Amino acid sequence: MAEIRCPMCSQLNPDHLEVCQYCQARLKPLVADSGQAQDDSGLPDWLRSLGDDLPLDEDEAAPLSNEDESQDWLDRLGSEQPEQPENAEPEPLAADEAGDVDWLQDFRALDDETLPEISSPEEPPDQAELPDAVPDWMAEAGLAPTDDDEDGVPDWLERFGETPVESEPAAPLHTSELPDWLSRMGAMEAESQDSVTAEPEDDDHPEWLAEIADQVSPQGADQGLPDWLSEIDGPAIAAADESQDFPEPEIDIPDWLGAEDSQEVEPETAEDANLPEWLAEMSGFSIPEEPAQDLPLEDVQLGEQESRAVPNWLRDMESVVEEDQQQDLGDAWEDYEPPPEPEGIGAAPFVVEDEFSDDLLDVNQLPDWIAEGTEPKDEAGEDALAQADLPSWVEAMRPVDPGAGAQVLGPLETAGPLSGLHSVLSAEPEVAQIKKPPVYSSKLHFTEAQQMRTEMLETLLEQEGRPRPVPRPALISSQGVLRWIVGAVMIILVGLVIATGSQVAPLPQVSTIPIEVSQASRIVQSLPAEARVLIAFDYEPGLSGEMQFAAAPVVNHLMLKAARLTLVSTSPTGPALAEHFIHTVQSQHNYQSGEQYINLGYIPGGVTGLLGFAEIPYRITPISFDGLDAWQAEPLDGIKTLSDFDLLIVITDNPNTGRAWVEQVQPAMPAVPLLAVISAQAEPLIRPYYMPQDAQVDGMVSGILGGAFYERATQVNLAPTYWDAFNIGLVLAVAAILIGGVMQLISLLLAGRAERQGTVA
Amino acid sequence: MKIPFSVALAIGVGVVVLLGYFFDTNAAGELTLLGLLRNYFLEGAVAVAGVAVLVGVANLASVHLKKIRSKQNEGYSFLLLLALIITLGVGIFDIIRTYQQVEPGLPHTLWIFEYIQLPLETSLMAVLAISLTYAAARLLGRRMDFLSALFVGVVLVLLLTTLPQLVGRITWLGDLRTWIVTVPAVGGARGILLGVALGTIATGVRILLGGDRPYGG
Repeated sequence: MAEIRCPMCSQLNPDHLEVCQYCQARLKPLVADSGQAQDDSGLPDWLRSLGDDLPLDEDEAAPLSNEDESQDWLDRLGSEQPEQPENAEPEPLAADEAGDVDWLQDFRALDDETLPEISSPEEPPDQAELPDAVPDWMAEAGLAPTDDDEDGVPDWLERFGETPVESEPAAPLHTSELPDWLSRMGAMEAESQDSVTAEPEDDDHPEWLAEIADQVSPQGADQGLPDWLSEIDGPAIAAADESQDFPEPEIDIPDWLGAEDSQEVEPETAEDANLPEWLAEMSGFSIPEEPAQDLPLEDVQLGEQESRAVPNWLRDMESVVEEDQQQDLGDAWEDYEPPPEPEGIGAAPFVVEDEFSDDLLDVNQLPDWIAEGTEPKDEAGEDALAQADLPSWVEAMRPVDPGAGAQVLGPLETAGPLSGLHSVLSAEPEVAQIKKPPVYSSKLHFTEAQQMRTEMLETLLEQEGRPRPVPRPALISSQGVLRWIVGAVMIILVGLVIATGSQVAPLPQVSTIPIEVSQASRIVQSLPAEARVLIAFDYEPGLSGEMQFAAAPVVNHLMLKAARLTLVSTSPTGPALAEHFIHTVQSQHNYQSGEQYINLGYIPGGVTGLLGFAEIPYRITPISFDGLDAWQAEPLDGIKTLSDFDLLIVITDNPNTGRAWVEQVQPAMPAVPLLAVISAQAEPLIRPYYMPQDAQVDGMVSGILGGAFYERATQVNLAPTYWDAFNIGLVLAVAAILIGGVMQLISLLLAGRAERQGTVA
Repeated sequence: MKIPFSVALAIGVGVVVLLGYFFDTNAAGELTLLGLLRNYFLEGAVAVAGVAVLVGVANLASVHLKKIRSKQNEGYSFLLLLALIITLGVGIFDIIRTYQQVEPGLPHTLWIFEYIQLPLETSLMAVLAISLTYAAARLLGRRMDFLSALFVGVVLVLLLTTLPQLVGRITWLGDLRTWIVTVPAVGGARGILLGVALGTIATGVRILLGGDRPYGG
């Protein structure tokens, strides 16, 4: 099975493959269809005629590296072209090309038979076999060999075959100045690295091309050149100079291939001055010494002017090819059938197929100036072309492929708006996933336990606002019976004592009379006759039984002294009580209002009223209880202020009232003694006003007992009416408390014993 | 700063009365301006307090009248209003007759008081005595602890020492009673009185400074 060598990696591949199985470079270059009318052989006329006319110089032929490389490149071209009759007339060219190929037709006009067979390079052609006829155009141009030419070859043509050519550094030729056909030759892909030259495999490119490649600036290759030309220049330039700062290349270009601007190129030698005009235009072109890389011959389009010239490289190519196998160039040209041109590409004079993969004219090896004008390949075409070795600086400028594998990409996001990206924060499934939102029912779902608790809470709340019914007590209960018994006993016994008027209980002894009672009696006793005494009746009607029994001896003592009494009260019921006391309890003295006593009535305002009464008594109580002008009455005759009174007696059961009288009124009458007739429940709070040395209260009579003591002190016998009942009541109370306490203790003990017995059981 | 008029009036009157309490007379014993103002304010306060009693009576009547209309315990409210009207009427009658010097002394009013109000209140107080005795008898059964026992014992001692016959025969009961009355009782009473005095002073200062406004200012 035939194999194809990859032009990029030099690996052998089966011939049926389109791309290399190692480096994926294209093995079979794309061939574009040419719109130009060409001969059936596929070669342009000028190239065909070159094969017929040009003599072969054995010495000028470049040695081939191997037999395969020694194949005639023209033979290869011819093998690909459709076979045509030998003597088939070429197809008439287009009118615009008619003039272009005139010079080629001149070559064709030469009798093929007059040309000897192309011998091997080792066999230089016999000069005698060369046709004597010189084309007219060459004669006219002065290119015919002169007598000085030893071999019969014009000097200018010999210069074409000079390899290597030590050319002076010509003026730098820019790629834009190159002929189009040479630039288009650069568009041909390099399909094989095999070289037809005798150079080693690594350097199997023609020297002249290699020299050109070295002299070409790498920058020119980057200036919009096709990849095949850039790749051609890469290795050579990298070997020459790895620095990125490349000077302006100076290309030794023969004069006949010189710049379009003939001004830039100066004729190198005197011989150049004799060159025809078309050759002079091509001056400045010099073949580099170093061999150039193989250049594919595809996509080479010869321009109008270029088709007229025969470049040195073409001559060298002929000489190299003829070393091994010399064929009838004319026949080869006639038999040559150019391959079909690829789409979008113009007529390619050189179509390189597999057989031409190792051809010397590897387009990929062409220098930049040759590649100028070559149309850039399509993107698809570029991907199909083999990639040449690029210098390091070119590689550095290559765009970094993110998919080259240099960076480790993160996980690929497959959902959400960031899908397709790598190393992104993975979205939550609930966020990235586009799904229909769940439909929630508006109905509240709850369990039975929750419902039960809800009902319980509702019941509690309802009961909270509802008043609890008070349990009705039992009509007959033990407690109620006991209460009735105690009450009945007390009421019956006390009532009997009162009803019978017994006086069994003895009065307290004189030795046991308290001192406050004794002082009180002495104060009253020390009053002058018809003393002015202010008495305050500030007790409640409910405690009148105690208070009347406690105040009776004192008031009686005063009445016995014919004291003039002024009654006043800070309680609304006080004036009435005072009146009752005077007319009931002390009725025996027959005191008359306005004469022996005066009732000033009620003082409103509580403590404020007492302060006002203490300051301005005539303004606070101007009228008496019975409507008389109080301060004009007999009891208040000569009284302007409270300090004009001889004695102040406060009869009260409320300790606050007694305190108010002591604190508000007593300071207004500091020299007036104050006696307090108080209830037994108020004694503890009034006694502090009596205890100190400079007491505000000068005497104190407390409750029924104090009254009894006062009667013993004054030897007045008023208390016995109530004394026996009082004593019986005290005894019954003490007995009830004692009996009840004992019974409760017994019941508790029994209950405790029963609990202990029950616990033990 | 907007200060209510009532607050300013209350504070001003209070300050005047307080200062008048200390500076009511001069060296010659004559009444000063502060004293006069104080007396004037006190007289006005007494008058206002007397009117307030009438207002209270009117309010009481209106409340019970509403109860009668709402038929909420209307029987007791009716009796109360009836008694109020009768007593008020009798009292007005007695006042007219007193001022006319026909029958002074308000005899009918005193009759109502002497034969209705006084017996009722005295009887209620007597029932209270029986209730207190029964409660004291069941105190140990309800709460048996040291304080309850102590309370019951003190009550018994005081009740027993009130009996002269027992004190004459057991003299230490008299001394015990005297000690209970003069020492622990008075000590407790002094403490209460001091607390009341301090509270009264603090309340007075708060009112004078406007911190407390019992008058609704």
